[in-house]
Amino acid sequence: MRRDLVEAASHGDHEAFDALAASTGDRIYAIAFLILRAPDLAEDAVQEALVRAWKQLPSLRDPDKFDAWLYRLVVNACAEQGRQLRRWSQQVRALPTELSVGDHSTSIAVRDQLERGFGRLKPEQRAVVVLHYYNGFSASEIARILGIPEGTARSRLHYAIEAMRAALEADARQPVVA
Amino acid sequence: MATDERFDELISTWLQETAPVQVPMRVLEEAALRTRTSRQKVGWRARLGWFLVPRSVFAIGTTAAVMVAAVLVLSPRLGQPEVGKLPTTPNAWSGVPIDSRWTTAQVDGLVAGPRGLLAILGELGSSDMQLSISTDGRMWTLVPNDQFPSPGVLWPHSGAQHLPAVGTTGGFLFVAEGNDVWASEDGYTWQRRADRAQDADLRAGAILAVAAGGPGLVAVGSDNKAWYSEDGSDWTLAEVPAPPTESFTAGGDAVPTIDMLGVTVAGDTLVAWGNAMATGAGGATPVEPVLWTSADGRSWTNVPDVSGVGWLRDVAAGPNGYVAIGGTGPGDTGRIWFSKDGRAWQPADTFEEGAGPMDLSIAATGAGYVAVGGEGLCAVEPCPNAVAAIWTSPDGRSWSRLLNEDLFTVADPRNSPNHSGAWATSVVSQDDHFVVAGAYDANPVVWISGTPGETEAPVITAGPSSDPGGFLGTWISTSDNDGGTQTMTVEPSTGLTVDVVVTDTIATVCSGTSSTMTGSGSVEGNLLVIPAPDYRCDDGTEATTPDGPPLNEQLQHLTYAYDAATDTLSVGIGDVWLREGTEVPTPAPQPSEQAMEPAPGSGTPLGWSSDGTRSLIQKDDQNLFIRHADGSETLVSEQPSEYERFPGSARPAGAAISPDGSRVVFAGLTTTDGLSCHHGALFAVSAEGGPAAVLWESQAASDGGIVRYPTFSPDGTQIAFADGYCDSNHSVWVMNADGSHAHQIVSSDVDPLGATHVHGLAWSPAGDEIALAVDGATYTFAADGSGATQSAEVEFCWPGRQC
Repeated sequence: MRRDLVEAASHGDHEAFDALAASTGDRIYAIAFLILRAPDLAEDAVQEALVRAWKQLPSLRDPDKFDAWLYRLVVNACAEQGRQLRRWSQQVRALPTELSVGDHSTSIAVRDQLERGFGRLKPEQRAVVVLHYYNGFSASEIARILGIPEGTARSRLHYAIEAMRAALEADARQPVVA
Repeated sequence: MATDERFDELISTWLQETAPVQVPMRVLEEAALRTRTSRQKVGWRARLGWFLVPRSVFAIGTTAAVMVAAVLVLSPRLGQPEVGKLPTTPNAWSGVPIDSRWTTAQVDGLVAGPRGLLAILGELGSSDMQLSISTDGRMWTLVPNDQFPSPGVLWPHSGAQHLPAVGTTGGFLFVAEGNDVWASEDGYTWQRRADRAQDADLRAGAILAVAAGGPGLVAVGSDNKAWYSEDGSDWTLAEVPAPPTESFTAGGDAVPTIDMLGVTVAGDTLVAWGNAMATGAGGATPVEPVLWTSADGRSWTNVPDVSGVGWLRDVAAGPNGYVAIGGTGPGDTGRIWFSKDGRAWQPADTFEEGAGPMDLSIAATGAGYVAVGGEGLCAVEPCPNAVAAIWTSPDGRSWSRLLNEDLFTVADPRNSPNHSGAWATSVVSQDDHFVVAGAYDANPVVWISGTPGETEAPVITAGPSSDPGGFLGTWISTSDNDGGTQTMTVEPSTGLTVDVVVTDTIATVCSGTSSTMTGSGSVEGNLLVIPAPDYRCDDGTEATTPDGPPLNEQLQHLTYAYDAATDTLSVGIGDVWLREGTEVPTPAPQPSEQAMEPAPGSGTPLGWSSDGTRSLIQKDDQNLFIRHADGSETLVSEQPSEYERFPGSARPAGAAISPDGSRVVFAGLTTTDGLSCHHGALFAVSAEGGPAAVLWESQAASDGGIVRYPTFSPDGTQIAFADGYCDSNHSVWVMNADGSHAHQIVSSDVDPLGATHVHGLAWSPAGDEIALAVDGATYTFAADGSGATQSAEVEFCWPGRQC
């Protein structure tokens, strides 16, 4: 059924494409939001990815790979939005926060630190983190989705996690700002 | 810090908790709306366009292959209407950027004729103009301004509302300010056909519009004047009645002047239109419309009753009758009037409520009418709110506006620091098609309906015309370095057909024995195409090939290009043939593969100027030199030694010398700090040396990617290059030679450009196609990125690389 929708959409059937977009919209929006951490940029990325998907659909040779291919378009659209994000991020100075211990505020502090550590990653690194830790894809699946070699996917994931850990550790060493 | 497992769990939980549940409905709705106005692209599919032949067939004993032929077949395009159908949907239109030599420019005016299209491009904010020509509106060639004694010749009279030019079966004709008449058979080479100084009638007023009609050509202009001519060389003033000034109901001065602004032709009937202009303190202001008709262009009569129309902007003759557009008073535009016969007029419709569009223009074909304009225009760039508008009407009376948001996505506004919108300046009809001129993101563009490339219009050939003469004779290959000699004889057959025989005294594919290839070819412009060469080993054995289908199959459509400037033949980009008896120039016009292995200190040749007097040499892995004909060398770029620590796929690659030998463009890095695969850029430097300037920075990632293989188009006006990571996400771009108007022509979203490495990029000899070599395959596509096809998957070694 889904394959039929993809084939119909690739032959110009707008209603079929609308149905595909509706069925994957929530998933790709979540990916875009998690990568970009900004709803307006995520909305733009999803919209751009869907329009590109429509235009490029005739080039998709295997209809069964539509979902994975759409993820790639979303990630690429996020990378482009990320250039705006980068400029924006450079204007935001993150205040260091102490990593608290032993009470209910720990999770909030960790969240903040994760947010900051993630914010320092490049969009390409964020993408593999989201696809792995949120969507549950393995490195080889991420490689196929993004159209990159598996080794590249593994190294991006490795360096992303290392970078986040390093950022968190650096934050933890900072003094508390009054 | 948490353990690895704990840390993984933290990240996973954090992402799950912060993920949104639902996409806002407006996102899907907006996307659905945009797809309704977006055209789907033709899919990538296998087609043998350019194809690969083992180079060993012709020269050497390696398995290296070289691209040898360019068979240029335009792929069918999707979503275009049947010929003659009114283009009422966005899918019926496609946008084509036109290169100019400026950062911001527009198409000021457009002329359509049986021989093609002529566009006059103008730099925004200046009076600089340049002509560009095209056969079908899709591929454009800039006309050098040295065709005219001064660039100012290209200025039409300031009062002209439309380009005072016309296309006829004999070519193009253009009236410059001052009424000098210029003519061209091909749009490229121009001669002055009429001299105002020698023709008293041409000094009677300023010509503002020209049309093909009457005895041959008719012209109208200022001061109530009209002219006629048979071929544009001798002009005579036509009889035009005195203006009916008594009918004018308003005005500043007592006696307004009359300008005849335009003329349109329907069968034998000519209709001219204009305005009575009152000159006051604020300048000339139209006060009344004026219309004339003529049956022969020699004498005109006034339309007595113009009460049905307002101030006129443009008039077109179509299948139902005449349609005029303009306004009713100061600040008012967007009004439409209709007339069956050009004499009795009545209001028909309006384009917009409220503030009307500007710069209205209208044209017609047998299928109906198209009008264009723009809104939100501003005097100084950028104009982000500028919107181009296209309206269509089957009958001239009822009009509807095209939903065309995505139609104007022909350039990537992200390439411009200050994005402008789109606007249309004029529309013309060519056969059954419409062509709209304007600008998108402050760059010249045309939007075309239908498939004008499939019409039977004669082809404009800016290069040498079809003549087998250049090919005739005996030729010796410069690339045969296996000890043998390849000789080719080209003899005339009939018309543009020639007989070709190629002999090789030592043929690797024949186990070292001699071989003979015979074939009959046809000459098309500067190309000789041999559809079915027959290659045989002289000892009767079968020729062997390292890869792919049988040799004779691979050789189909073998194509040689003739370069009149150097009197050489080339096969693709790797094999050059010299006329027998010619001394091998130093440096050779193209390298043999042996020459790619440089002697110590001699460097690796990367390219030649088109006249062969300058070559671009790379030494010591990175440094670039220009080698002159006398053997002297100029260092043009000393690359940082830090490049060496980057692995191959992370290192910038490629450099090119412009065809005129004046500039070098090379891939490099803006900084060698940080990660590999980032900070890539293109640089330009004078061939005389000096500081290199950044031409373009990679956009493949947040820190840029690696730019590779800049390559000049054969005419030197454009540069193609690849952008991407080390091993993924590659895209192909084209920019003007000065770095302006960079636009992506093949997206990394396209499936084959995923996990791969880019090995080379090249223009076709004709400049209308581009080839991209990646791991295991070569793709070719039109210079706008459309019609991509994959060539045979054979081992490939790009010229200039060691394989």
